[in-house]
Amino acid sequence: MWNLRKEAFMENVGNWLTNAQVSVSSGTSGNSDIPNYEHLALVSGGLDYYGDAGMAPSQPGNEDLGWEKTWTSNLALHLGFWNRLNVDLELYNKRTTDMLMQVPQSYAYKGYGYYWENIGAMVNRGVELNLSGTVLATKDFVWSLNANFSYNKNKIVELYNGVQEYEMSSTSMKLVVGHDSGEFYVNRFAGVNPANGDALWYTKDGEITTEMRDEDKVLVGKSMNAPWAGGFGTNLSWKGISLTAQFSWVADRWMMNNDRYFDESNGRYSAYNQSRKLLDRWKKPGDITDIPRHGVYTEFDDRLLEDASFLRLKNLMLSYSFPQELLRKTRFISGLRIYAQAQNLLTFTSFSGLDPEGVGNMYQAQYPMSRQFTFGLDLTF
Amino acid sequence: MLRNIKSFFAAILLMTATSSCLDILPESSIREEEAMQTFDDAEQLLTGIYSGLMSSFLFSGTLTIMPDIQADLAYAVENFTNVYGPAWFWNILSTDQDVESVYAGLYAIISRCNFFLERVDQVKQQETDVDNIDALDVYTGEVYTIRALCYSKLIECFCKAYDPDTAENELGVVLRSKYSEPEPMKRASLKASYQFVIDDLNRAEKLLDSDDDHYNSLYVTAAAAQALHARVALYMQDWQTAVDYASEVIDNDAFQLADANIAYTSEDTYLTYMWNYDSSFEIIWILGYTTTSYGGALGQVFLNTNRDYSYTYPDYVPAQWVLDLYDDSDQRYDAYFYEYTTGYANGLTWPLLVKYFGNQNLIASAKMYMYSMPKLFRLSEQYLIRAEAYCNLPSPNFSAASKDLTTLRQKRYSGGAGAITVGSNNWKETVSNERVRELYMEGFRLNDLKRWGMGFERKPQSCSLTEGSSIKIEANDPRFVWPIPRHELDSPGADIAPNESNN
Repeated sequence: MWNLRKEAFMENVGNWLTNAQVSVSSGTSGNSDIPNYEHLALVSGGLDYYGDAGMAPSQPGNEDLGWEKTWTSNLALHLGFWNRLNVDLELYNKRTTDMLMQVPQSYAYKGYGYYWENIGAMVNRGVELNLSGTVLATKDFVWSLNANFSYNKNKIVELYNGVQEYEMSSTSMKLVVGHDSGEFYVNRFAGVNPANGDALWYTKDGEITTEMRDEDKVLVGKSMNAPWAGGFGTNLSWKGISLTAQFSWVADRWMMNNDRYFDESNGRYSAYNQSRKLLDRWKKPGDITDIPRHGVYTEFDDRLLEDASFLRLKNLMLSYSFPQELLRKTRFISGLRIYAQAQNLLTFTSFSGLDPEGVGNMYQAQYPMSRQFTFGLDLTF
Repeated sequence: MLRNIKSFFAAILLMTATSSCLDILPESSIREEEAMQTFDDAEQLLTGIYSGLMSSFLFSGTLTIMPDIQADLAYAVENFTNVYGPAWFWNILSTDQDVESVYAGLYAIISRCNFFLERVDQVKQQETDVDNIDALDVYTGEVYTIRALCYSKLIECFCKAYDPDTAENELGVVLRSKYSEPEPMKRASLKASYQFVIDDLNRAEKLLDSDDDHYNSLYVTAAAAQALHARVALYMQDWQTAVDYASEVIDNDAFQLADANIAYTSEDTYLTYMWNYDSSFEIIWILGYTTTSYGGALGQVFLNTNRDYSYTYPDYVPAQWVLDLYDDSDQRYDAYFYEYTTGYANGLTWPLLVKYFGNQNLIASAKMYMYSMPKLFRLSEQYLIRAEAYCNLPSPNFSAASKDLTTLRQKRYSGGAGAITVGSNNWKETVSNERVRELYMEGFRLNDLKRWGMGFERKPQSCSLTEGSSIKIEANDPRFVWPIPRHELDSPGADIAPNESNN
């Protein structure tokens, strides 16, 4: 780390720059997060047939299993201005090699289907920026702001045994060297034929077809891993009253909405409640719509792949601390604060499921982050 | 005093530390090379194989039910939950998880068998007790039979029907006979695959002792190996062998057909008792369930009674043409079907499959509805095998075939009616219909259609799901053969060829 502020040539710089540090680091670290016994070829008990205890081979083992290595290089800049504004900028490049991966193996070999190996490589490259500052500070009034954002790019550099790609069954995803590890691999919907209401798809080469075929799936450049994420917030306080708000956001994150496969089945699940959107389906020649005629069912294609980016007011709090002079008179209570807090109050998103916040490639109806209201009274004796 | 307390705590710390960090093996596991050294070890590994056979992906679930759902026997209803959906719609993809589970499940059992077979000779050499040495031979015979059964099921699902003229050039399955040693990870020919099964059965039959044969056996017996041999010979169009092996089982005093005309209890005939209590003189090999150790629920998709324990919510209901196949005096109809008004809003009322309503003892003691113990081999199938083989001999013996079909039907019809004669013009239809009536939802139909080169057509019936209800499947459609799971094609170190249905 290099503290520029202490260098001779910085002495003439005015008071506006209160902190200036540059740090560079590079090094390797291991991830020993290996399940404890995966290297062993084992036979395990716990099986039972009609009251008799049994055992069976349970894992193939791999005596060569070791740590995975991550080589991280960092360049960070910490700047402070007027004692009011702090800027932290960090660039990083993480290259993970000898990754611990479950490599697919023919079930016919020993019946397992997968084994652990140190194999493959992945790179995460990105930048993180943190800003925090005080806009106004007087005796009674303080207003501060903070913001952070991060960008991360994930790329598979190498898979196992020279394999260039591996499609993961029933996930609509595929691992391909040179691509993001969470990228979706689906058929592309091309709209509805106005003449007869048929669903249309693009072939791999971009031509129009009426048939959805496995071989026309493509990597669509949309990933379940959000490259962009961040948050910002503010704090206002005047005398004992303080108002805090904290937002968080995620951009360019995608998810398959599994529920719509059922809700918008367009006839496949006729006994289930269906989405109102289906009222706009194709009905007569000439109709321009993106929902095919009744009976042409919705499939797992990029129609169900939705932008799950969001902006959410995670926390909003208003509080009042009673003045010390008042409390001192009680000779009993040394602190008294009342507050009202709301969590997950507002969410802005174009995602049609109940909650865009979450991880994973597939969204299925689940309880969303609940909106919580808290009213409190803090007493200190 | 304080010093003592300190050292006491130190000792406790040390003890917990050693027990957590220095465990070189996880609980209840041992190293592979130490796993099978004694007679007791061999017994435990054999039990592990039987335990694996109970998997709900195999005989107590997917492997038994899905092929029959794919065939012409049942209809998905409007409210079905998409269970076995791709099979019903005939669009099984190579990434289908049910298909992958069946494939993986069978090879998992085969691997357990190979592990046992690789080591059993060493155990035998060290064993000094004569009875134990004999028992080890029997166990080895059981394992060979189980391996043959799993390979035969893989071939049924993932290969074309056997034709003696072309089998050498058709794809079979990857044949693994070892656990530890590498072998080429490539599909053998269909002929070599079936030969592997026959070789295993020949070994098993030498090792197993017919004196141990008994009805309702929870374990492999010599009769079970013969029953499988008869079935495989039939599929290989080796008619005389099929007749010979089926005859061995049929002539065996240990077994007799369950008679629908004789009461076993005040409530059950021998026929209904077999399905209500999973016990019968007719059962050659059954997988045993207890309230603490069981596999899948074969009746699940036909009843789903556990949704509210008041109504039924079937995913699949019997096809009308199947229901129509049963004569009025055929007692199997009441044993297999019962008309329910389902819990669905559309009020669907239909005869549902109650063959798998569940073992009454398991229901009474643990409320385990729809758990029927998988009956891997029944004597009735042997009669059907022999009848079909008789009709296909170079000089067909239709009178013997008629006699076998009549014998079976007389046990099923009230008053012992049901006599039937077959000839060159109707044997196929008669055998086909009788197999549907007798073996409904026991996992035979898809393979039967495939080996007979028969297609079919579904026409919508009451409250049936629109998609899939009007499907027409031509004979020899490549989708009769399931696709090889994508996982197998993508795995490094293996050179496994796809099927036509992979595309």
